[in-house]
Amino acid sequence: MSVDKLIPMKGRVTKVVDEAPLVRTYHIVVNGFPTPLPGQFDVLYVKGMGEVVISISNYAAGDRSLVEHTVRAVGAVTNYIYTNVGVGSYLGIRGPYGRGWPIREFEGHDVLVIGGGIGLAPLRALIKHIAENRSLYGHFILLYGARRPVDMLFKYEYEEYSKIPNSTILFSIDIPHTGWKGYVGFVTDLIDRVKFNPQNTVAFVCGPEVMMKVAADKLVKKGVKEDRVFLSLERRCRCGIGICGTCQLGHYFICKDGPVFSYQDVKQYVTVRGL
Amino acid sequence: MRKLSVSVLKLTSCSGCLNEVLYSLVARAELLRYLNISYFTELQDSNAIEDVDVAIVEGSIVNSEQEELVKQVREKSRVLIALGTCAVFGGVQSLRAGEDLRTVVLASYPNPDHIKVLPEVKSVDSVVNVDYRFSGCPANGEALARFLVKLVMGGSESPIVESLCSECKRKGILCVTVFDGKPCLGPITLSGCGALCPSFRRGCYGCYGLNALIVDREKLEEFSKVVERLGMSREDFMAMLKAFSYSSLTKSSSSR
Amino acid sequence: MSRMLGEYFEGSVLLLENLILALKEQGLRVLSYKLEGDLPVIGEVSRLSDLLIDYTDIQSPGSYRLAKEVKGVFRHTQYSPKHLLHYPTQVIYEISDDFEIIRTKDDFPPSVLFGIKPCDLAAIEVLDKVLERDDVYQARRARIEYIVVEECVEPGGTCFCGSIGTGPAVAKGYDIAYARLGDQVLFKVGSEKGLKLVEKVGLTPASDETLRRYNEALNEARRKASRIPPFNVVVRALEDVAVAEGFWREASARCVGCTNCNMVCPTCFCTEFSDYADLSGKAWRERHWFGCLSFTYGQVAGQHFRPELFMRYRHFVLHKFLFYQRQVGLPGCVGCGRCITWCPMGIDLREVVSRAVGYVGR
Ligand code: SF4
Ligand code: SF4
Ligand code: SF4
Ligand code: SF4
Repeated sequence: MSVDKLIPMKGRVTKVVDEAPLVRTYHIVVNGFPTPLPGQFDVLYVKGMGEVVISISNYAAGDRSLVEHTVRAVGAVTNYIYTNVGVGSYLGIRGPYGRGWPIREFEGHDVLVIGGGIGLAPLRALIKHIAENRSLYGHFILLYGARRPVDMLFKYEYEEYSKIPNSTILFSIDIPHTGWKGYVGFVTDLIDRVKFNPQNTVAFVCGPEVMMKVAADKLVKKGVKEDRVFLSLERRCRCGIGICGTCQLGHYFICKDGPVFSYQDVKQYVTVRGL
Repeated sequence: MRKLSVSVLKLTSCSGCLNEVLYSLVARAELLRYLNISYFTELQDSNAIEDVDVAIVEGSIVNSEQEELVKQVREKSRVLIALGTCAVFGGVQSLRAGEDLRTVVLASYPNPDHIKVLPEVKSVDSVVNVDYRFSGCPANGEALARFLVKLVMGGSESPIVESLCSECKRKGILCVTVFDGKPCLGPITLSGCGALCPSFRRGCYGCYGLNALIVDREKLEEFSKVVERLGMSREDFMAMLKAFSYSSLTKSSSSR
Repeated sequence: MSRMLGEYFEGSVLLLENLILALKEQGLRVLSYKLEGDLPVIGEVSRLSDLLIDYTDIQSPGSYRLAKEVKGVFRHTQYSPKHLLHYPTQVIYEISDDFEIIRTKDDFPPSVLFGIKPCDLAAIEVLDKVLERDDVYQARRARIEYIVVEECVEPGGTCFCGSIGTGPAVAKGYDIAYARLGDQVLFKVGSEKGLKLVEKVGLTPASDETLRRYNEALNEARRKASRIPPFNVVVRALEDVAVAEGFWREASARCVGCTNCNMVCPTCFCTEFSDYADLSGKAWRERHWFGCLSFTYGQVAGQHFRPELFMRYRHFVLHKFLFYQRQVGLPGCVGCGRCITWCPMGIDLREVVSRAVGYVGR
């Protein structure tokens, strides 16, 4: 008898990519790790320090599965990873967990992806999925905003994104910056600057919760149905499998019922302060 | 794993916390090897404040020299730990707060002219930014030692803030308030001691300090009625609060 | 005469002793409410006199006393079967220098829950579902070979199972249930296993007179234990007040966030983790109970999703009355009254939810 479900697999860091101040992407190889879906997350374990829930920003299936996690140093465990974990380090890893973006369900639709700050991480695998299965989806829009240009993630891939056929990509920053040619303001302002057919659009949104609510309300006002706006939510999340109870939002367990929810499903909860 | 330079600073306190830490460190030879203790009021006689990784400050601030010293230590340390209820909340020295200073000094010293004290008692917390707090009178040396292990490993810890009752219940102790009708300060006190007093079937007297992130003035007032009903006089209750939670009573909102 | 499930039997109180012995003969550990010194706890018993058979628990908001009296009516203690099945603190694994994981072995011998209450049984049913993926809980649960329930002929001072529908009688999920009617005991059988046991102990079919007394007592108990509006009414009211901040600020005005209610609640299951290491390279993880009334519940690095106490208090109440229902299809509050009795502030959940009913439309 033991809590087998909470026992991590052993992963080895094979590459570390500097993304932005305090943000790095860690490539972890784990033998026989199950293939994730875009939007799912893993629980990373640092020996002696604890666990942390991190979304999967990219993956490659196979026997020596490679999973990428983009980590921002904000808490005790993520700070430890940022300062101490490098190529060759071992990390424990459990997952993949949660319900990701409903990519199969919305084949044939136009896709509007909105990311804010670190929120691009769980959207990255989705963007790659769309790029690789281009014919399965209609028009593709990516709106991405960060505080400053330096805070933007995956900059080395933007060129690749821009080559996705039949797509519109807009960036924004919050604080004016010399040399910045894009928009300055909230990323949600960009919703007004792109054309899309609300009847045939599904939206995938990830960023700070306030930003997601603004985006969702705006999209709904423009005619996108509430059950076609998907948000990836964050809460205090520990076990990842719905037994520790700390991630509850109303009756949902973020880890097992989410982290991706339709706005329709969570509106009753996220619009009430502290519920 | 890396060696840490540590400076230990003792202000006004009884040294009980430092003793607890010493016990825990002595039992951990492997940890001591990674600590380079550069300034330890209790053990060495060096007054030069150097740049260090970790400063551990025990005691509360009762004069302006101490306040200055703490500020200097803060500047020179990467991580500052407030050790013990004196450093975190002011501690028992706070009992004199509000009394006439001269009376207090005369009560302890025959020749009070050499005694320089502020009318106020200040916690380290109220003077500089504190990174980690280990309250308790005395503090839990084991908890600090475990934390130092993490620092040596290059990590840290996010505290879980809960009341003593959580700890008490996890230990399976029958509640002394509800079952025995004894006044217990556990519900408003920070956890960390392992529910020591209730495990001896005594009420907690709040030595780890007030859980001020929840307990505001109104709740404190409500709580005081409960302990009064169970036989604790208002004076005793106020004295316990003053002794162990002074700085959180004088602040409108806690800095935690 | 062959005996059947659903049949009623009777016998003297002393036959409970035979029942305990019969269970022990099968090599089972019998767990029940009992005294340890002068403290009422839950743990292993070996004979009837170990049980709190001659005691009455006197419960009211913020107070619990035990009175010794012949033919006492005992309900429950601060502890519940949760303490046995969902351990308060547990090291889940150790990990060595070279990342080898040593799982903690959890030896839980085959056991019987004896004399637990209808609310306890309802709580176990909730935990079974909400901890479905918790393998330690499930493994321990699988080692519970029998459940013997004592129905409540007299509800305790803070009980309200009648309003929820979780007591004072049981309908399913037990092997044997019994009710104490003075010196007589009425037995119900809920499983084939239970039937075999009853046959061994030598009970006789219940007389009409005993059955009549039983039904009368239980109906009276149900009436007494219906101290809040019916569950569905409460649910509808709470759905309405969920967004009314004022209601929750008022309801939690005296709450100090001590988490006693969470800890004693037989259906509260939340846990947190703590990590430890030594410098030899060894580390270990501990899992322990965690209450949603504590400050940290809802906090993440850099922000807090339930920063104010009223938000966490609201979550406690709504989880019990609304959210469990949506999560596992059962009420999360089983009406045991523990959170009322063991709240040092004496905050009465019954009052809070009853007030919610009055609050509608205001
Ligand atoms: S004995 Fe004190 S610390 Fe323990 S639960 Fe009761 S009130 Fe809380
Ligand atoms: S909420 Fe209170 S009355 Fe309901 S089951 Fe939990 S402890 Fe018992
Ligand atoms: S009421 Fe609170 S502690 Fe209890 S199960 Fe629900 S969230 Fe967890
Ligand atoms: S036991 Fe009472 S005071 Fe303590 S958290 Fe629960 S409701 Fe609040």
